[in-house]
Amino acid sequence: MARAEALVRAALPTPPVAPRGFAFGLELRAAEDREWAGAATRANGGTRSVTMLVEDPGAFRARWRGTGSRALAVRGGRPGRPMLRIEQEDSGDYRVWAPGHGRHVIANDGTLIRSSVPRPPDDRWFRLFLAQPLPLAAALHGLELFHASAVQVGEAVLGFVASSGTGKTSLAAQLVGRGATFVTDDVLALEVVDDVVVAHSGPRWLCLDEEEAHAMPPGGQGRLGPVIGKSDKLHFAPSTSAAPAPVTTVFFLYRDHDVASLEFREIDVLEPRRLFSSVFLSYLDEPRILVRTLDFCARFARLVRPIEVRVPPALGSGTLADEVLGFTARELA
Amino acid sequence: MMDGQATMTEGNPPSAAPDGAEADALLRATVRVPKHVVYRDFMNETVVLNLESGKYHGLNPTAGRMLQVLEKGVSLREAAALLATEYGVANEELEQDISALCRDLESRGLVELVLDGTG
Repeated sequence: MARAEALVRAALPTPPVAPRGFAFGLELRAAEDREWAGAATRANGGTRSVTMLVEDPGAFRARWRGTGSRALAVRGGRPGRPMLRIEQEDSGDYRVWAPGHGRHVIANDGTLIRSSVPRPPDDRWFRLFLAQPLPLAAALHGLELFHASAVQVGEAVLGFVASSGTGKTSLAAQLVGRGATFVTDDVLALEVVDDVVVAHSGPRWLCLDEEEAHAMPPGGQGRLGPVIGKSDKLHFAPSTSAAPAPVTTVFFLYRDHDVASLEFREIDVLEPRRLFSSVFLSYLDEPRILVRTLDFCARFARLVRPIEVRVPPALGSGTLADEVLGFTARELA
Repeated sequence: MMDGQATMTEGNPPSAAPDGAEADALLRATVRVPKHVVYRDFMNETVVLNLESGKYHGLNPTAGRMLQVLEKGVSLREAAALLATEYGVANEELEQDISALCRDLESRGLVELVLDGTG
């Protein structure tokens, strides 16, 4: 029965692959249109593109099993039962798998992502796709990725680097609710163009606690765009910036039990260690990528203004957003 | 005065000081940075990347400057003399520091020491 179904699926005409928008500096080519692809364009002409193909699960699994690979990262879960596994195949291609979230193979040059989607399909495979395979394709194309959220205020992008759970997504959402333009909620794609660090918008995808969404300022939730899905959080599709924009300032956020009130401190010398620990996809160990990241970090440290922010644990994201906007207007004008 | 001893951010226990002949041989050596090692200057640190291990190592400005001078192909003794003038300290002090740094870098596979007759 399963084999017959697979044959029928293979025989069905496939919708043509077409450009669907931009995210992380890549033009996305896919058979389906989706709301999450932003309308951004690339800075210097030319196009870096990635094609997404959803393939027949049976053939995909057979190829997966028959291909040698080495583990790069195994995250979460109990011993022997990972929540996320990332490998590099003998050919150099990468593979990403998480139980219930599908399997993805990313070509070594970042031009193609082939996916096997669990049935019935839901948002989970797509969340994984946006969190790992798509950023990985961007990195393979030469973009540098930081674990950060970002918004655009006026002409400038403000980045927020923080470890998971610090509140960088909530801060970005609150800033968008106050008039900023959404850039990304978790992965910031960067490159240096003419001695300027520029940011490329991520996908139109922002996951926010329902409670946090209701705590937005009047009219603010509407600025997050339509709700296009729900898990333990609401999935919004905010509008993104149409073009890459210069990153002027990066805030390094820390929740700090030892501070009674919010503290902003200019970082005179941005330590390499602080930058390297902010790199997303730190499991990538190809020499070309390691050298490129080292070069990028050296330039980033000279070109971007770093600010350390110590946040009292009880401070809400709305207040933090107000303070960031105040600091930006006061100190960075 | 130097702005600090040459250090790496992840220091191993210092290796035993070599005896006189060994120390002299080391000072006559030159340093080669292997192809699998690259380094870049940051504002207050030099980061050395070992591509074989994927590990980054940090050098303070003094150690970074030492590596920069040594990569020109001069011996440790010549580098120490140049840097002693630059920093206004005694040659002997610089020779000890630069020797310790090179042994440390070599133990991490970040440089190769070319002793007399081995180059």
